[in-house]
Amino acid sequence: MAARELGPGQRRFSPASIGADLVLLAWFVFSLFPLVWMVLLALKTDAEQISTYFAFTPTLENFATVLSSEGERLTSVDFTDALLTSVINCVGAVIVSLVIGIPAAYAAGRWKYRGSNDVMFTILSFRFAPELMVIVPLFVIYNQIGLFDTNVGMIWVLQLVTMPLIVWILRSYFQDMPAELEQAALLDGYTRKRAFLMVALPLVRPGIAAAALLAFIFAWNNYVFPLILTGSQNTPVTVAVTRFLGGGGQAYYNLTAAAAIIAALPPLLVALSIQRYLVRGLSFGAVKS
Amino acid sequence: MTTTAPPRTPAPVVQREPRPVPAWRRGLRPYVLSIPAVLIIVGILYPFVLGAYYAFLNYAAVVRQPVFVGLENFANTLSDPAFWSSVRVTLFYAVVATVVETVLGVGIALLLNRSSLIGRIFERVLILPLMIAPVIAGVIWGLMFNPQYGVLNYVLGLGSTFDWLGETTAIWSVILVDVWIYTPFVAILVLAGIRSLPKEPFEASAVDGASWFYMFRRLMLPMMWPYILVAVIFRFMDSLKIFDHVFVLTAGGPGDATRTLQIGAYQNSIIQLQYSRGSTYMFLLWVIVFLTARYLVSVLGKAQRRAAGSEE
Amino acid sequence: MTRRDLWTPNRRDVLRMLGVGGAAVGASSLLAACGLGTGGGPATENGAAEVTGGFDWRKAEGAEISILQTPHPYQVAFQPLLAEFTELTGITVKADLVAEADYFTRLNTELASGAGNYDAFMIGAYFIWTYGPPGWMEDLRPWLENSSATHPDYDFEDIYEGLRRSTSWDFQIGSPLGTGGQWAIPWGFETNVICYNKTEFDRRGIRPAETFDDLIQLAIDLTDRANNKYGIAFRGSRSWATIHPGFMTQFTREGCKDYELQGDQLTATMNSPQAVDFTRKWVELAKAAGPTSWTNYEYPDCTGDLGAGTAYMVYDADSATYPQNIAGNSAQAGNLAWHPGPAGPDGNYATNLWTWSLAMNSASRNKLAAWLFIQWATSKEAQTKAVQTGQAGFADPTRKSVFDGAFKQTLGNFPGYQETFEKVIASTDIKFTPQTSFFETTEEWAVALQDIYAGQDAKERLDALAEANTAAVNRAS
Repeated sequence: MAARELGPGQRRFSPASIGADLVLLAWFVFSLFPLVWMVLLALKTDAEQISTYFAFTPTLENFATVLSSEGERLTSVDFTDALLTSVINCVGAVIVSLVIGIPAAYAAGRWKYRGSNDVMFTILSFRFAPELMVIVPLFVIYNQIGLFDTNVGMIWVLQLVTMPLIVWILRSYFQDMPAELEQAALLDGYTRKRAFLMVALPLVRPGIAAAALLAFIFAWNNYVFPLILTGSQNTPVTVAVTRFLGGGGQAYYNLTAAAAIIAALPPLLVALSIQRYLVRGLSFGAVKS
Repeated sequence: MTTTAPPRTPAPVVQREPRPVPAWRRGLRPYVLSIPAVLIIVGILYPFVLGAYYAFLNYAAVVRQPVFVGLENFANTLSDPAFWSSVRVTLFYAVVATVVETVLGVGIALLLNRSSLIGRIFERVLILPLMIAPVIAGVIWGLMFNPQYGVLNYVLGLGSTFDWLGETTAIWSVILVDVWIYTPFVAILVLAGIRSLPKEPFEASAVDGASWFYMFRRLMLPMMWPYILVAVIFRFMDSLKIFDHVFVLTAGGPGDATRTLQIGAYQNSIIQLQYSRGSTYMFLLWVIVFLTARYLVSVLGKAQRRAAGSEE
Repeated sequence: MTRRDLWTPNRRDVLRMLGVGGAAVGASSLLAACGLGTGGGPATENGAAEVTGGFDWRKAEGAEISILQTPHPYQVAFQPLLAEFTELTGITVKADLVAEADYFTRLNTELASGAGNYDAFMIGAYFIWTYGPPGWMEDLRPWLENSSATHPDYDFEDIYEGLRRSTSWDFQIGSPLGTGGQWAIPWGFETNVICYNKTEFDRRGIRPAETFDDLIQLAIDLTDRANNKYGIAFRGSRSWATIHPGFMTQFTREGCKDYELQGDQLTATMNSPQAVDFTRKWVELAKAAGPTSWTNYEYPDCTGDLGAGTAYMVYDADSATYPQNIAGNSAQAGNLAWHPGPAGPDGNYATNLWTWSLAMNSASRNKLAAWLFIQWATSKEAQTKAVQTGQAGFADPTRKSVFDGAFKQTLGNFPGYQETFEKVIASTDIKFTPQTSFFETTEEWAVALQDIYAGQDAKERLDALAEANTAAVNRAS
């Protein structure tokens, strides 16, 4: 790896920089240890799942069980189907939130129109409602209008989770975005719409990446809404994972851990592929002169 | 004046003056752009109002004829010490968790921004704790916390008598799990924000001989405030409503040590089938969230203005 | 009994709501006008009377039913058998599963809404006391008594009497269990007894205790915190489930009672002198010889510790400890044995039970098909098959004939299981006094135990509990 360039005022190997690295290292040990332990748990047999620590005979059986027809028998849903359902729900929810939220964020960020703060606060306020408060009436209504156990129903409800996040994060980016670039495009004869699409949108790419990623993750991990609002046809994966815990005598922590790891793979893939958009964006600074 | 403006696609062949848009249409534009966002969630308003309405009835599964009782539920709840205990627990949880996560998150973002070797290796895995659903994280941490067979007591040498979820330790342990899951959220948000800051002011400052600390306080922090505050708002609101992993770990116990408002509501509505009492809890929780959000948003507005001012 | 669903206003009501504002006077007539309390949908009557003609398994051929279940060895045992049911009756079954911790949340919402998504579901006895009064469940007695709907060899009396009684009540304060309608058919059940590590006991030359004080002493002697071993595991989490297994069993054996009927009111007596004494001892047992994190312990933690060899005894459901002795399931598999636990001072073996039963949604649109399913799943043939082929066993079958027949054959590797069962079964039923505020009051009881564990005085805490519970129990109309 090429040596990183030093920022202003930084020295390469000072006590401060070593101290900084140690702090980072400490955080990552804390952060990764439970995940490592979860992987170990997923590799343990039933008899060893709680009676051993680090010395045990590993097995890949749990992963096989989760994905096989045995897994379907234990949870009454095919795990790969559940993964697919989650992908459809979450990608759908994020796309809807982006398509509808970006204009709203742009309007509030670029033009401080009268009432923009109120609109923004209203959007945010939908996150205030405790889930349990709305879940029972929502269940009744969904059954009445036929949205119970459907993808559309979940995508709509997930807007409560994804929309406020996307709109608020992107508003900050649109606020910081210098207006000059867009003005330049307008002077060149672009319509407002093209100026927006060709100039403004690419400038806030890191923001879109961060917002979409976080919204996707929160939608993916949402538990209460799918628990109540889906049935046997469109079960998402987070609900399926908890079914592996079993009941009535023995708890299968190892199966649950294996299932949770598999369920974490799609968001992980999304995160890794979006990573490159999170790096330093086009330098605004160049324009400010 | 030379700029390194982004490469532009060639201008359209036909050069013409853009047709002037009437003023009233221009004024309407922002509203038109924003309405769909508000509309799509309006559907949620109806169940919310319904849920809130239950708080004004004496609705429970065993009550044959629920009737309107006005503010009686509120009177009962507001004079119930269990409710106030829940409020205390919830506020304590939210404040501590948010403060710790913000400080840690900003710190990690700053450290990662240095792009040291360690930083670059681990940045990829920063987000991993967020990949695990909070419910599952609760299960896994519960297994780790167990004094009998949990790995934490084993690895830290605490023996089989240290109880992570005892009367005095439970609240700290559930906050610890919250910090584990959500600090990456703050860090990622702030890091993305830092990375989009303009380089110029910092270069200019360095040329003037400023120390890193000075640059941080005078330049970076004010410009970062808006991003930090977005993270704070979302974290604080979500922690006020916390349920998933706390319920898995302690079900609100021991006693009432970790009985947050939403857990109390759950126990009333779902376990005891006292819908109206549960709705009252949730309505009051909603009020708390509303008020604190309003306050935080106005703070955000001020910070925004200060940041814009400091860039001049 | 007519059904009462979760109330949702129609357009007229919404307009009135907005106009009326907060005026109490207008509201009560508004609510009466929109029929709050008498159901949002059409009144659902019992469907048994409509079934006529001779009995035939294929009477509801072509129907499709949905059932709601939670993961459990019973459910696992029946999963492969569902295909046989379809072959027998021509009815297709869609089985949906909900994680155990969330099961009643989901079931609650389903039943309260009247949506009718599920025709039959798993239910525990105590839940009948809260789901029954609003009319969410179908009374199965008319179905049982209708010979057109029930096979002549069904033999309902073959199911243990304590179980049949436990799932029947008329929802009147003061009425004992066994009166009123039959709200669910027992499907599988569990008694609460001691399971212990026989190998360890034999090694030390000791036997399980026969009196409660002996049990306490034994557990303390077995506890060795330095080596991470302790004497006895039982539940302690903040839930009604902490009271119902070992605690309630021994509580009753020691001669205590939860409520006394005085006139037409119930008075809480969990603070009687005997009860205070017993509760104090129970909590001290938890402290001295129980798991360190007792206030968080649920039954998988208890059975897990037994299976890992950390705990030497468990006082909980026999069906929960049963799988721990199956080879490959736990580290101590093969070393466990069962014992009825300490008898009461007068030698009684009163034991509390839990039964997973099958019930019918009163909003079901396929009642005959649902009844055929429930009937089949609780029949001798299906239960026998489940016992013989169930992957995690089927402990305990609810029919005497199946227990004495197929189930006994499987108990070779479960020392003491049969003897224990036979000793307690005659005095096994639900020891709680039925009341509609069961979950609220029993959860408060668990909180009281946790508070006593934290150091509060037992008598004071239980007095406060009794006062609160007496008020709660008599409040419901």
